[in-house]
Amino acid sequence: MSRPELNPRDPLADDPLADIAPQLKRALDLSDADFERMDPAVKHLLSARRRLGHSWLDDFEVVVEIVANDGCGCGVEPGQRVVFDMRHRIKPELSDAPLCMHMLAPVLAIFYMTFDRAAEGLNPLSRIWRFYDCTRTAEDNGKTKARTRVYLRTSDTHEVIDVNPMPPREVLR
Amino acid sequence: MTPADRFPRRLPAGLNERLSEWMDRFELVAEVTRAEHCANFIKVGQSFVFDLRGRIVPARSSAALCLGILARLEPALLIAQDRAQSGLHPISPSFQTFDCFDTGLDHGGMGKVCVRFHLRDRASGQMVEDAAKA
Repeated sequence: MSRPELNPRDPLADDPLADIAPQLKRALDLSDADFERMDPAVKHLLSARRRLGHSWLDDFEVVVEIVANDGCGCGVEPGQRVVFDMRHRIKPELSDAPLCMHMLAPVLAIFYMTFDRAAEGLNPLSRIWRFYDCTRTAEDNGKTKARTRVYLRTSDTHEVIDVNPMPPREVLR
Repeated sequence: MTPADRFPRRLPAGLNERLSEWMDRFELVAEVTRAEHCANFIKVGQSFVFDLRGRIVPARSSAALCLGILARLEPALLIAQDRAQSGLHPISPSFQTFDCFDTGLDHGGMGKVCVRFHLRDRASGQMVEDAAKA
């Protein structure tokens, strides 16, 4: 299948990612042929570990903290948290808020940015998009909603990390 | 004039008198029907389980709770709530199958996960084909 050359000068187009390819092939059941037809955009995503270290996906967590629950019928309370790993998986064992998808679905955008920013060597958490709200809008034009804020923390010590640019985890110790 | 004055709420013709019972009794199951190169290792046959308010129930879900698919399912949860409120079987006959945000290896992404929804009786674990008759 031919694909349009959307980014013909992409610097990773011919990069075999030799330093990380063996682990990825094994983990994701990718053959050599699969790896060769991988889009440069995905290579960028995978290359984040060159910047933040091979273990960056395990080193940090994104915390979604509820800051308001006006008008919410799902039982969330301010101060409750939903914790995600950097693979955007909920960690139920670390979360104490009801896992309402109407509140959490908008947070997905954070994780597109975490991969994008990490590949650039930045703190994975956006400095701009840190507040979210529920998709349900009542007749008060959205004045009452469950509202959340997000922050990044280390997985082991739960220290909030707000530095830029971002070094690998071992440098933060 | 408030928005409510300008656009008076139109109540559905038939509100579901059994809604509260349905909320307690049934759960929505999104069973994985396709999983290729998923970076979160989601497998065919695993499932995500939700209550009828749209909350995921982690203890009853067997798949990794990846937001890349869960967020994609949020419209399905809205549909289910809407249908249940009107006394209709919560699973839409038109929208049962959903996929994740990853576009897949041949389309600029990495993997692809698809799910298909069904309704389940929480106590018995049996699939419910018509909530109104159950």
